[in-house]
Amino acid sequence: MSLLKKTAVPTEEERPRGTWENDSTMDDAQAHRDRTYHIRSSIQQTFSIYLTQMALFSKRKLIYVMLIIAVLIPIIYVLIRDKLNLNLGNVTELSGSGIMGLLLFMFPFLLSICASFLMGSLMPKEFSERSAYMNMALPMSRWAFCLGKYLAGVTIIIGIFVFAYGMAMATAMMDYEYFNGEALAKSMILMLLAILVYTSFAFTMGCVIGRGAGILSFLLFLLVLPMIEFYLGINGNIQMSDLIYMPNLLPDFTCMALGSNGAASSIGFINMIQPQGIDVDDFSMTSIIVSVVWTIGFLLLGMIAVNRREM
Amino acid sequence: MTESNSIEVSHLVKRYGSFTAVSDISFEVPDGKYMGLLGPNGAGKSTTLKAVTGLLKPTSGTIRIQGIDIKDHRHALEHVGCVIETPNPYNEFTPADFLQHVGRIYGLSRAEIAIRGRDVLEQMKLWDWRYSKIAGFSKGMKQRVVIAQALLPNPDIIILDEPTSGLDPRGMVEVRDILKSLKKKDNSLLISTHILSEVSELCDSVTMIRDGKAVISGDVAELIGNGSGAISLEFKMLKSINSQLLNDLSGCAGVSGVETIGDHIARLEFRGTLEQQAEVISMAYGSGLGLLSANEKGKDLEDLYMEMTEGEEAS
Repeated sequence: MSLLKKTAVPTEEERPRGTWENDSTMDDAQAHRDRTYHIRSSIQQTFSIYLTQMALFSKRKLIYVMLIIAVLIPIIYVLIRDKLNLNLGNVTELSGSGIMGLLLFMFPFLLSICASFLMGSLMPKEFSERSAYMNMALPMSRWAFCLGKYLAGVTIIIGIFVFAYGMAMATAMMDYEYFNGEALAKSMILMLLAILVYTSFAFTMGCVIGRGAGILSFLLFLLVLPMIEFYLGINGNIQMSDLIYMPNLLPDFTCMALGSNGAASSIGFINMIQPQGIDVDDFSMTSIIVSVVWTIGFLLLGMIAVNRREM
Repeated sequence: MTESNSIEVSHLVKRYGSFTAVSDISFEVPDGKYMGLLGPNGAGKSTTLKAVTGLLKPTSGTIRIQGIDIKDHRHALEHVGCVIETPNPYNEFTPADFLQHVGRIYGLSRAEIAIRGRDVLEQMKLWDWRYSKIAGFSKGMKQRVVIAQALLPNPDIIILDEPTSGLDPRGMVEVRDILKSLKKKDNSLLISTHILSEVSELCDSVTMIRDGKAVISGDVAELIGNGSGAISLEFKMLKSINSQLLNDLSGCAGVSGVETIGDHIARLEFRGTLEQQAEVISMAYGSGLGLLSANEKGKDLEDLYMEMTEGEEAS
């Protein structure tokens, strides 16, 4: 207790009763101490949880590490700029958007880390740190609680990767004036879908299996599923073109859409399977709907698990 | 459902596979009344409270809070503040942040949260720590933060699961004083505890649970005062107690047993009327041995609790 920093204690004259701060002037009557209150709608409660989770995220180091990595993009570019035409790129189109694809080559890997460890730990942390016993005994549905937390996670991750996109674009603009607008738009949509699918999957893993969900979803999405898909594809069990509907490959397609094929996948699975019939141009409205269905499906699964959980 | 009950638990059963944690428990907490759940570890107190707060689903039975079935968790708990299973507030937050979070869920405005937050933090002696991170708090301080959140919305009903665990003796007394003060505002309280004095000090009624079953239930005053009809009268005399006095006391109406403790104290088991009790005291006074004091001691919760858990000790 003595290690804690104690705030200065103002005198009674300095602080009007019933306020956080001294300069507030609300009195007891305005405080509605005896007023009967009513809980807000589920949507408002979801937003309250969202705000709380955002405040909690603001204290997480991983968020700042990701932002620092995004800031490093221009530095990395300057360092590798002279070697781009040699063998690093395999860029199909020498344009600003193509260079962006190259600069974002770590996107699948970083998205996996970010989604798995941020989202996969959301619910297990609530249970392991016992804050769930307080939150779930509040007058609020568990659906609202889960949804608020999930949306906060999605917002943060979208924020991080949009920032990374911005950094990549600003960096590419140093040397290139032409940007393929269509490729950029497609890539952005794919990025959003990738984030939705990855986050919902990791969140659900956290809801269902608890601790260890982060590392498990990371391995599943980045390693195990691509290997299974690749194996099945090579052996003809599934059509390579059907892989466009698989949720785990979306981050790779995000980079491919920018015209950077070789460097798109951090572990090269797309590079291996791409020549055999998979093409990002196949990505259509159907693919988008399938991705959204994956997201909703994963999310519902997680919420049902939490809703049925006995504490 | 009568309107006068804040909480109604009817035939509550909770099973985990073949194990029955709670077996057919029923009780009511009337508006403005305090009720205690007493019982040894593993008796089913926490399971009962978890069911009451919707943290787990009963196998059978009904639970109503202010007339609303707990299945409608959101509305049933609208005017309830609770602390179940010693939860942890978010370590990354300060008490001020934490109360903001809870207040928003209850639908309080920012200003209301600030004002009520100050009230409860001052009550819990945490006001000076409002901007300190909870991560650095002791267990007792965290417990006070959690109790503060339960009191924040000024709820009609308060449900507390061993609220004073982790608190130092002074903290325990302070929390008890706060709970006593809430009684004046007609709040209802359901509390589970191991501390018998907490129940006898705070509660109007008590339900003792053992092996998932309610074994004793009723008004505290009745249980500890007149439940068995027996009280103990203790006389302290100036001079040594002689056989004459013991014989005289034994012969008095209502006295069912007499024993001496040392040379100067006589203890009587008494089951009579107040008039008969006055006669016994007059007898001791008129004995010429110098009556220094006469104390009455009823059967207390501790006696009841010990009786209830006797079999358990043996097993």
